[in-house]
Amino acid sequence: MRADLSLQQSPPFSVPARFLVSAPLFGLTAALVLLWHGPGMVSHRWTPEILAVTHFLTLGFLAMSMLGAMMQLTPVLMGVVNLRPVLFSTVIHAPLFLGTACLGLAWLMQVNQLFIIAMVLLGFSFTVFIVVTTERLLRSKSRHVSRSMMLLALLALLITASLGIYLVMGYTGQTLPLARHLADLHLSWGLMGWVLLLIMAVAYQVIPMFQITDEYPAMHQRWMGWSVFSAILGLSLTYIWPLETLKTLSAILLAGCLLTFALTTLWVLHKRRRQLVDVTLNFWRLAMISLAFLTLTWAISAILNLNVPVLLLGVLMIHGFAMTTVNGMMYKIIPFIIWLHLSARNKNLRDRGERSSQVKVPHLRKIIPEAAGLWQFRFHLASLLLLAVATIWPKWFYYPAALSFVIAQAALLFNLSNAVRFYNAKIAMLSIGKAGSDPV
Amino acid sequence: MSAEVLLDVSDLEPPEPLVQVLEAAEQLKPGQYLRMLHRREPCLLFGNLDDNHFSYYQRKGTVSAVEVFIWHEKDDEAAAAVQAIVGVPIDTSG
Repeated sequence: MRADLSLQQSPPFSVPARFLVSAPLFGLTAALVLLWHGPGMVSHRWTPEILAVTHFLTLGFLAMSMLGAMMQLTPVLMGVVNLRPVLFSTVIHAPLFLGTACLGLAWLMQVNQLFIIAMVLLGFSFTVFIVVTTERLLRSKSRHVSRSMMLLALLALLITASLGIYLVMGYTGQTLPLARHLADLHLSWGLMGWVLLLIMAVAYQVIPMFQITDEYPAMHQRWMGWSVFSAILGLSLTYIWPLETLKTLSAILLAGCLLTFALTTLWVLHKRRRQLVDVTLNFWRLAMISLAFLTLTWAISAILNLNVPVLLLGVLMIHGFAMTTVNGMMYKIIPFIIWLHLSARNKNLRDRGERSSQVKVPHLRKIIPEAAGLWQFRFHLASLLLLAVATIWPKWFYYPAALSFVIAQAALLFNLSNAVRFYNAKIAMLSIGKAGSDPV
Repeated sequence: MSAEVLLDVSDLEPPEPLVQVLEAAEQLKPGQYLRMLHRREPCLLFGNLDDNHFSYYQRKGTVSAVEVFIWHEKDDEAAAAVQAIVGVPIDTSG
């Protein structure tokens, strides 16, 4: 006998899929820009090429996939209902995609008008997303700690986007000066606020669920979000009141939170209930090792007053921690939603008495084959290691790093596109009634 | 015939807990209930149980983090058996 399964609150497949497949497109674009422009572009952090690459990754890869993941996960995990999910996702996705492309091109081609278009498109996309999702989350009946952390992450995104728009106004050729001193604030709220808080909120749900572990300790979950948020707020206040004590205490609190989260996650994964190995586990472990390494590098360099390349910290945070986490989660989320949607279609057919039209729904691990994911992980790992050393010795490692990054992102795009093609083929089979030849 | 059908899905990865519980629920005979043991609050399960006309009761588990009791909506005998175990009145109005 088969289980009768319905989609419940899960949005249509196209809602998360458009975001998740767009992400490696921007990852690949960033990697190609690195390859094309050569080692000169990493001479300092303010080169237009570095700014373009950074924003292709943070907006095009990270924000793109994180918004898509939120549209999938908040209805299922938080009971948040979006009344017009396809319309909502289109209104968010299209301006985010075009705005990110315009912003990157504005730096690469030095066209001021593109900054204005990017500012309007990205401002619109983020404003609509933040307002609608915040309102929905506030109305959610869920009392899971992830809900409050997601709300904090959205507040951090609002601050990041506002600072970003203010900074971009300095590039538009208008009268406003470029407020470069606010760039670190924009970066802190973006990476430590929005990205880190959202990853934590999602990790508390998906690690126990998909990696078959116990829950994170209750105390850890209860205090982590507020501690991270307070630390960034403390660091931000020092821009207004330059209090050295507040800056030091906030930095210590933030470093403590990063290290605690990384080590607790590694511990939870190590103590998982079934010692199954899958590619997502590799991604989670790599992400947490990167986060721990980043924190120790940052802390030691601050204590000993060492001059660590700021691009190394950027590589460890953006590529090593954030992209690695998102990449790994994609290999769980995409197969799961494909399985869910195909199973629900089969249920509808059974309800209508059309059992012969059902399609075969494979095991989750077969939708994106483990071997394909593992190969992509190897290239991802190689690109991380090479990019990290290339920030110190660009002459030797720059091109191997850029090339491996291109391959890793192309492989991710290939794997995700294949999964979507598989889904579309099954749906096409259902709609033309040829699934009878597909043994269920 | 025992009234209780025990199903431990604590060590299964998604979507197996959902699939196995729905399959086991379909096979319940009159008077029987399913006692599901899980490591966490289930996802997507309750809406699917509603759709398939099952009643359920969730509580903190003793041997696992969460226990869910599941029975056919109109099965008063199974509902009474669950009520005797959990010790709280259960609404069987459907």
